This record gives sequence, C-alpha cells and structure tokens, in this order.
Amino acid sequence: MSTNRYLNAGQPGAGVTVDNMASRVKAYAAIDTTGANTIGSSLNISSVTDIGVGDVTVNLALSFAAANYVPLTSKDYSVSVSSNIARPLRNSVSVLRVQCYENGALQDTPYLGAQFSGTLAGQ
Amino acid sequence: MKLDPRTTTVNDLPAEVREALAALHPHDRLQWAAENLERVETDLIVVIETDPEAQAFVLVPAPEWMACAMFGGINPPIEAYHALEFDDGSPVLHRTFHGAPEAQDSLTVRNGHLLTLALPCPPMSEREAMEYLVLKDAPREVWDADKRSNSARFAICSRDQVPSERTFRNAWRMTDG
Repeated sequence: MSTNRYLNAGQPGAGVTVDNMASRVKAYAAIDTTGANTIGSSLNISSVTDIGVGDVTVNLALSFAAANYVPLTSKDYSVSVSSNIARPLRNSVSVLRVQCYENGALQDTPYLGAQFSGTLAGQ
Repeated sequence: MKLDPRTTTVNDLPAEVREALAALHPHDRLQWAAENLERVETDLIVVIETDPEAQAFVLVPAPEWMACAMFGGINPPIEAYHALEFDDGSPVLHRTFHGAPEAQDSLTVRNGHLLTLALPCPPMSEREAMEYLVLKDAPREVWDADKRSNSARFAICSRDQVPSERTFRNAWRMTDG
C-alpha cells in the first residue's frame, strides 16, 4: 500500500503514522449518456446503468463503508437552457444514481462527471 | 508501455510481482491497473428487465474495470461482495436500481475487510467478466433463483442489439428474439 509516513523523532507525536488513503479521491467517472453510454475514463467504477433518459446509476467497484460518502457531480453546460443540473441521489454504499436536468426535464448529456470521496469499506 | 489484458494476464507477471499486487489494498490495485493496463472497450452489455411494464435497463461495463477483470489479480471475488453486511446484519447488495431502503443511510458496513483480505480473482474471459458484473451490479431479484421475481430477467448481448436512437428510450422493452 502506498502511504505517506511522517516519523518526527524527538517531536510531539513521534511514531505517528499517517496514511494518505483517507484524503484520496476514491472513484471518478466521465460518462456520455447520449448514445451507448460510453465511459470516457474512470477509477473504481465497475459499470454504469442506463435506467432512462438522463437517468443513470454509477456502480462502484469497491463499496464505501457508509452512505455518508461525498459525491460530486457535474454535467456539460449549455447557455441555451435555463438550468443545467446533475443531481446526485445516494442510492447505497456502492451505487450513486445521477439525474441530469435541462430546463427542468430529464435530458441525456454528452458529459456527466462524478467524483467520490469518503471512507471505503474495509479501509 | 501499458499491458493489454486481451493478450497478457496476471499469470504472465513474475511471481514476486503477483504476490506484491495481491498484497495491496484493492483500491491500490485499481490504481496500479489504471497506470499499467490498457482499457478494454468491450462490445458486450447487459439488458435487464425487472418489470415488463417498465423500461429496460442497460448495464455498461467500465473499460478500466473490464481490463482489471480480464487481466486478473485485481478484483475481489464475487463471494466477498455477497458476504458484505451492514452492522444490523442486512446484506449490502440488497437494493434495486431505484434505490436502497432509507434505513441503510445510518448503517455501516461491518465486514468490509472481506474485500481487502480475499485473494483477488484470476483472469476472466469477456463473457465471464460480464457474468461476474451481473452478480455484482444487478439487483438480486434479477439473477438469484431463490429471490427472483417471475418478471425479472437479463441478457448479455452486443451493443448493436440496443437502439442507438434514444428518442423513445423510456419505451425500450426486452424482446425474446
């Protein structure tokens, strides 16, 4: 396992080991939902489920320890519509559902980004 | 140069590298794979139907994950996922595409170490990887004979068997053909 270890001999806290796993981004994906749901790049994502227009679930390869993980989502921006929203709905520790809206209606998008932080199960 | 999982597997690595890889945390193995394996863009997808009156779902594998599955030595075994439990004893994978019970919001996975300690999977073919993916990412009602509803079914098929035109996406249904 790759870790950053700080050993401050003779200093307060000497011998304390710090593992940078906690601060890492645990998963990410860039998804095009307009055609065949292609995944441009990803880490710790096993699959994406197309469940309807502008509506996908992002399935994690490794689960989080609890549903209090932090998902950040974004989508492409179009000046011609009044609202561009990628709405994350935490489904469970291993699934994030994301709904993409334009002008208040679900809409497919050529770029949906999702990034996850938190504590993985077993971490 | 990255390794191509279609032609090279974990078994082609020196024994000491295989052992070092297996000893890593699974998240570190995924990072190793991201740095060392070519993505595998498969033509296979899974079409899933849980209700004949509702639209079909389409499960698309991540190319990076397919690379890990086909290379081997990265992903935990499916049994480790199925054994995951919350601290109230309920299974982690019990969910639908539309969400897990709200009660899960306050729960913690109590045996996540199973993913960390289990020996990683050996190399798989594309088809075997898709079957593994169904067992991991599709709701249990779709694939578990004991919990399966009569209307739930799935099919592993190629992308060209799914319409590319999405105007009527929410009317897609599975056919028997």
